[in-house]
Parts: sequence; structure tokens; C-alpha cells
Amino acid sequence: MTIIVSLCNPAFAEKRVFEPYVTQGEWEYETTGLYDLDRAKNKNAVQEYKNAIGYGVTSHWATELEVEMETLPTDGSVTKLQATHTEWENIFQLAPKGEYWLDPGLYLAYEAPLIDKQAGKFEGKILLEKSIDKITNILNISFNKEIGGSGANPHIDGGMSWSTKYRLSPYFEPGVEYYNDFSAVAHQLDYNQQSHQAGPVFYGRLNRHVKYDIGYLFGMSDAAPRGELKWVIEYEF
Amino acid sequence: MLVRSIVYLVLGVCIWLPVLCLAQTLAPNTIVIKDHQFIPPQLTVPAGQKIRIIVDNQDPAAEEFESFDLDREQVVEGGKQITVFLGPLKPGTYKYWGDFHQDIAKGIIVAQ
Repeated sequence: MTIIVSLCNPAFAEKRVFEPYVTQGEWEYETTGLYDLDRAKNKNAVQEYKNAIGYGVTSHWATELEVEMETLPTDGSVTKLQATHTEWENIFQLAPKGEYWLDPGLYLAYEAPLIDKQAGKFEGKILLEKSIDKITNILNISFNKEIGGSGANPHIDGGMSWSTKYRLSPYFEPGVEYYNDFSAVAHQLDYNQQSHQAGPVFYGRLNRHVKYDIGYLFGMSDAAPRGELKWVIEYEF
Repeated sequence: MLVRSIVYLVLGVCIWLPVLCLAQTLAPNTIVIKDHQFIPPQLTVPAGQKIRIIVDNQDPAAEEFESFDLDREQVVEGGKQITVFLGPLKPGTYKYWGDFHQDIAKGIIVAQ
């Protein structure tokens, strides 16, 4: 039952594909958002917003603190927007870019709840990137485990995300992204009980300091919303 | 079925990663940063093979080796060196610059 509940809340899953790189000494302020569109009232207008500040501590490690606000689905609608989590996120670059055939990295995060009795969550991701000429492919394989709280999911959940983009210009890079939350690793859910989403995403820079990433994901299974608008704006300094 | 496939994929990545990640021994080229300029301003390298470039920052201030053509963005602290791995590159001209001093820190890598 916990599995089904978690799948009915697809906004909990982050819609971002992480590169396995960090930039030493760089600060960044980041704001991200998700807005779901669906015919079901408890899946429509589900929203998630994050504001984060991050820093590249070394050439191998970047860390970020973020606060998350979201609406939560209820039986017949969604709740008001409320602050639900803080998160400590870390990215480890495991090799210089281009040294090996595949660039590897690691993502480790802990999400602490701001609402009483909600569970915290540890999350780990393997980050892999391969560029071929002007086409960049990134794969993230993720695992997470809820801890504490009264309704913590006892299972280790998993998922994957994929991004392919064409490096057309620094200001505009068209691409596609795919997200899958297959939920409990030890249980095999039907395709429609898993969340599958894919769609076009556009990346680029507005100027030297500001980067964007905006896209629309189409739901490809029953558990996913019919549509989801996603965006990330980063200010680097 | 999908879960099993993904678990196999993860195991495959873990097993094959060390093989895929075999480092190649490459003779390095060197670019020096001095007075916020890249020396030499043009570096010619062989096309079609991996290249290793040492960026030696002799200034006290940090600089960022950045290039959209080469898809690179690496900070090199003052008085330190970094290694930039590139290629294999197609024959052509690739621009790069120092992000912290864009007006004067400019360079070109020519692959031929």
C-alpha cells in the first residue's frame, strides 16, 4: 500500500538529470519547479518548488542546501502549498571530464522533513555521462530509502533518468528527458503502477551567470501525471 | 521485468566501468596562464586522438578554462595546474577562453 501511495505522488520524484561534474569555487543559487496537469483532481495542480544554495568546495565535491515547498495529493484534491523538506545534497566528480570513455560521478543526499511524522530520506545516484561530438547523454540510476516518521516506506526504492541533448549553441540546447520511478527494488510492479515520463527539454544560458533548463514531460503510465511542466533556473557566481 | 533489467544494467555498469574507464597514456601539451593570457594563444594538436593538456596558471588569481566548442569548464587556482582531457577531436578550430578575464584571456586549439 505504501508503494501505491508513493507512486500516486509523482511530484516527490526530482525531475532533473545530474551531470557528474562540479566546478570548484563556484557558488550557485538555484530555483526549480514542477507543475502537474491531470484530469484527476488529486493529481492536477500538484506542485513542487525548491530553492537552493550550493558551492563547489573542491574540484571533486560540490554541496548544496535546499528548501522544498509542495502541495500534497489528498483523496479529492491537493493541499495548499507548504514547506515540506530541507535537503543536503552532494555531488562527487569521480574523474576529470573526458579522461575515461565514460565520465562517472556520485550523488548523495539526505532529505529532512519539516512536517511532523513525515519520513526523512537518504538518496544515492550513480551519475554517468558520455558525449559524442555535439550530443551529450547522461544517465542517473537512483536508489532511496525512507527513515523515521510514522509512515516510512520500508522498501528501498529505485529509479532512473536519462537526458540526451544537442549542443546547438551556448544559449539553446534542445534535448529529451526520460524518468522512471520503478518504486520498491524488491518488488516488481506492473508498468502502469510505475511512473514513466518523457518529453522535450531545452537547456542553455541567458548570459554568463544564468542557466536555464525547461521542459514538458508527458505521462507514459497510469501512475504518472498526464503532463508535467518542469524548470530549473541557476544563477552562478 | 523492467526492474530486473535495470538491476542488470546497474551490475553491468559496476562490472564494466573499470574496463570502460581504462586510462590512456597521452603525451601532454601545456598551456600557461600568465598576466591573464593563454600562452601560446594557439595550440595545434593531432585530430582523431585523445589529447591531454596541462593548464599551468602562473598568476596568483584563479582562472576558469572554458569552451563551448570543447564542452569544458574547469577552474584552475592561482599558482596551480589542472589537466584537461579532450578528444578525439575532428579537424577544425576550437575556441576557448578564461571565464574570469574574458576580455584578454582567449585561445584557440587547432586539430589537424
